[in-house]
Amino acid sequence: MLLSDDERTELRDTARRLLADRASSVRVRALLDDERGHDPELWGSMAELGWLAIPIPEHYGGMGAQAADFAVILHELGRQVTPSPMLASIAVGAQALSESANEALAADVVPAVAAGESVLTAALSSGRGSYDSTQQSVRASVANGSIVLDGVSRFVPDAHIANQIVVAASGVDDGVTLALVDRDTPGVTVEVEPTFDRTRRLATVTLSSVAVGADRLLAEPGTATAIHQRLVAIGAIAVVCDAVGAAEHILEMSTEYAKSRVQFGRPIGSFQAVKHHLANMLTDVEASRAAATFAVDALDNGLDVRHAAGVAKSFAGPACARVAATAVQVHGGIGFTWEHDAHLFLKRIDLDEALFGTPKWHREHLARLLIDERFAI
Amino acid sequence: MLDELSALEPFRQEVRTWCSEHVPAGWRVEQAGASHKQFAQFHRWWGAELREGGYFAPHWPTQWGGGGFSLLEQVIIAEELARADAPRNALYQVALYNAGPSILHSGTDEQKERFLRPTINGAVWCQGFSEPNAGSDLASLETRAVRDGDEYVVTGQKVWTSVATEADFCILLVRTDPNAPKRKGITFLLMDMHSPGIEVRPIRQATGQSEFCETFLDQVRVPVANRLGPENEGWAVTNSTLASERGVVIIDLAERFMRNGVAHFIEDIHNWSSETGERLTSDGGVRDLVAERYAETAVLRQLLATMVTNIVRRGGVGNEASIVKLYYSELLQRLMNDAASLQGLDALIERPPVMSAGWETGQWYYDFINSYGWTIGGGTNEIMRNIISERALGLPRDPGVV
Repeated sequence: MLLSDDERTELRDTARRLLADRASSVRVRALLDDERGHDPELWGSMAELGWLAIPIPEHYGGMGAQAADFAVILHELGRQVTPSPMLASIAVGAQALSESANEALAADVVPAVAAGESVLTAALSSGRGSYDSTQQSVRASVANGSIVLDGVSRFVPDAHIANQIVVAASGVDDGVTLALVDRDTPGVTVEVEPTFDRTRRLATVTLSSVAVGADRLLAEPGTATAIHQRLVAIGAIAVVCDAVGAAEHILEMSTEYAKSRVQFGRPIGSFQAVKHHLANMLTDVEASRAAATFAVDALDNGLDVRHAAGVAKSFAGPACARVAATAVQVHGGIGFTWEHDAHLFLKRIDLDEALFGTPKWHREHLARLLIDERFAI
Repeated sequence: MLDELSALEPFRQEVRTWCSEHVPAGWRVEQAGASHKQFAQFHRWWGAELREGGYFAPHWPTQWGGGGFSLLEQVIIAEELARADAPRNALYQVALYNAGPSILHSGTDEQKERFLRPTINGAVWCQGFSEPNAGSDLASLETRAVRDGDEYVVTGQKVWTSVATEADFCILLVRTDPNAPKRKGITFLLMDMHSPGIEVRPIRQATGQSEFCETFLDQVRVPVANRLGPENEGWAVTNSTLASERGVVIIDLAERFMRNGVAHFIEDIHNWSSETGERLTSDGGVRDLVAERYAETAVLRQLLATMVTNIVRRGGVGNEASIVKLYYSELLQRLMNDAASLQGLDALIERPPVMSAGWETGQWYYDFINSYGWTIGGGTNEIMRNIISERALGLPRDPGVV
């Protein structure tokens, strides 16, 4: 299904209105120390509005819309630094199963996820936080048609509230194995780590001798490397969309502040030192928006998604982080306080920059394409 | 990509075919170390080729001999010429992108007839705006024009008048009312460069080349009939000129930057080695830098694609043009600087520069020095930041600047 330009604009306006209220600063702050880390009622509303279904294929109970449509939602969630399992459950979790050759498994799991009744996440990083397919530290061993998982994956988003976890493991034929594991399976432990960004929860997932049947594998053991790489790229593009939304909003807040804060008898926004900060922020925001568009369009047009993620993450990761850092500076003393929201944006954007591969790791992938493979530009 | 753009695929093929048949092979070799005269000669020839193909002034209406192409067709022409590594239409930039659009926008029918015809047939224009004391603060210009019957008598000094030695005409800003507030006393004139009283002296730039000139005006007589727009309202006419300067031109620049800048940089990385004899291609820092510049350039292309989409949908260029200028110029300078520093001492050996190659001659240190033409020219980046913060973000003006 395709959304028209007008429908996409309407989706954005609806999302902005709803989240301005339901993910207002007061409501987001009320969740900073919440054990679940998000508002289940808001999640339910998002499900009712059909936001979760947007990128999910129609045959799994979704809308089958374009990545560009889902990007609108990710952007708006970022604008309000909204706590929600959208990234874990939909952008990456449901995507993993939708891409899987195991259609029976996907048909069994994804419809409930699209409806918001079940939450998924994906453990795609190693115990050291590497998303590289060659570095996965959960080990899979094949035993009587099923596999057994042992090891640790860190920085797994929302694993504490997920019903099921897609786990990436190494150990079979130098390839990645992707398995779907119920969170309450004996041998699975999930421990939330205290992130500076309290609008999100990352957990360490430990697996000891967890047996998984062949029917719970997303692909034959050792053959899921390409899907793993693709999922990491899609996750990277999703956090770029989130960061661009957050950067756009913190720029607006900084601009308003520069217009209203008076020192030396004039608004600080009339001083060139401040103006130039804000002009740089706008340039970074617009260029980051272009980077996100580039990547989302590549997804919709079936182009090389790792290349697209590489460009987007390499550029927009640091650029949005510059915007957030400058925003704190422009706000001066008030921006350094807990009561002001600047730090929430700073931390959200900095986590976006590092999640699903640091810019440096993505740049190394680009270097391989450009230098080693002489990719034609 | 815009659907409208994919519908133009046959047109793209047409332009591509023309390029493959007309873009001269080996012009870079011929233009290496070319004299100013050879440069001008080459460009008059190339301009004529473009004119014959119908690509000399793609953005002008057909009524005045232009291509009458839509914006998207112009984008395609710019992309294809860049892709074919055609020489830039350098001699006619002011004529086609500044003088022409200003006359089209503000000229009388008689002025259009008198000036646009020769321009489309190859008259060269220069721009007499900046002065030694009026750079970023252009509105403070002091060149005086005093009315004497049907003529203005002009005296003063202009600077950064590119290709003035070759020029037939000059778009000239003069002060006609020294008592009015500075933006209210400026008049826009179209001056014949063959008039008595004009002296042109080339300025040698930091690169060693002389593309720019100083132009001294001593009692130069310019007919009142050559005034563009009303007396003392030249500032408004000027603003339409400066906006057109940053239009489609930059699409051509971005395409050339990717192909001749980034792609050549990667080629060179394969050939250079470090002081320890190791290949640069396996140096982590170098790999990181190459990828970063490439990603920035891919983003530049997307920024331009977005700008084009907005122009098509909204029917005009907004603040994106200033943002693109800022982004492009600093990226250009970064890449040239990085490439020169990785090349090492050899980058600092001077070789004859390739004239007409624009901003990417492949001589990295030369290109680095030349890149200041973009961070300073067309409004310094500091001025661009003021413009962006005031027009796009609505920040108050500095009360000290009027």
